[in-house]
Amino acid sequence: MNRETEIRISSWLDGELADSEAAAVSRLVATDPAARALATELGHTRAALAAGEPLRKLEDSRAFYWSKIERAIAAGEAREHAAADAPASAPWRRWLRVLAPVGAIAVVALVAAVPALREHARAGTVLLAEVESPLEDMSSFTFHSESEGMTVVWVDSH
Amino acid sequence: MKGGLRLSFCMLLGSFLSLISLGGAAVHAAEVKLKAQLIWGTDGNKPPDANYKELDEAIKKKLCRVFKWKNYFEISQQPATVTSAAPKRLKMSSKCEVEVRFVDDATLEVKLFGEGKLTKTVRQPLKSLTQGGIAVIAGDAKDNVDDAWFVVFSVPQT
Repeated sequence: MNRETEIRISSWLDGELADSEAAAVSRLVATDPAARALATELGHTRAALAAGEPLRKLEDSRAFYWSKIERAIAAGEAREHAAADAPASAPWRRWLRVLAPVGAIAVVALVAAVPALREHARAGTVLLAEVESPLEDMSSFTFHSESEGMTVVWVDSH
Repeated sequence: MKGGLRLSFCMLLGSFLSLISLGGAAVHAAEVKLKAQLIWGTDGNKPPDANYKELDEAIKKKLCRVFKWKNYFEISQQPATVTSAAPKRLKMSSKCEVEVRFVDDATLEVKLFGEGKLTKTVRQPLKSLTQGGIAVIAGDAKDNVDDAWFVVFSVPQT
């Protein structure tokens, strides 16, 4: 018997199945020994729980009990509103509110500037710059090998 | 009175001399010790009648990794101390001369002369050389397009 069938038998005992399904489970319990044994055991367990569960009695009346809960909820909501409206008391909080956006802008500016700074640093260390090529039958091009730390001006005279 | 005058004169002279020495120190002369090498790149062997030298390993490795030729030979090497006072002209071979000068404290200018004619003028940031980089002006050999010539500038690292 699989898990699904066990759950259906338990639900049948609790009266939670639709009529057609309850009839099907009832037939199963009547014809299948394993299903019948499970239904019997579950039935005994259900009876024991119902019989053995202690009765809890509230001292307060139903209306007063629920009104206490309602008042506690209202008090909690009032505290939340008060906290939202109250000004920041600690001085460091005031400074933090001012400095946090400034700091965020500084970080963004720094991140944006990193490529430019790298370029500036790189520009300071490289490149043979061609200034003059007086011969008309001569062309040239420049390339740089970062890995070899070498800048080359190739002069092509052909 | 005499003693007072002497003291005043000494103080005045001392101040004057201090001013001169301070002014002299403020005029900073740029200077760099360079090495210029004329190199032959070829897939063939060294010509038997030529007194080409083996190239130092550091430069040879750099050239091998960037250029296609198998063998590199040093035709000539010229050490030079270049100052901002005057340009330095170096004769690399009967057909090749270079002139090096400071454009400003941070930039060198190299003029390449082939067979007496100005071929190329390039500028190189000094920083890249002092940090171990090399600057190369190169081209195909006129007599043999399969070979190449290189003029390599470096600052010897002590």
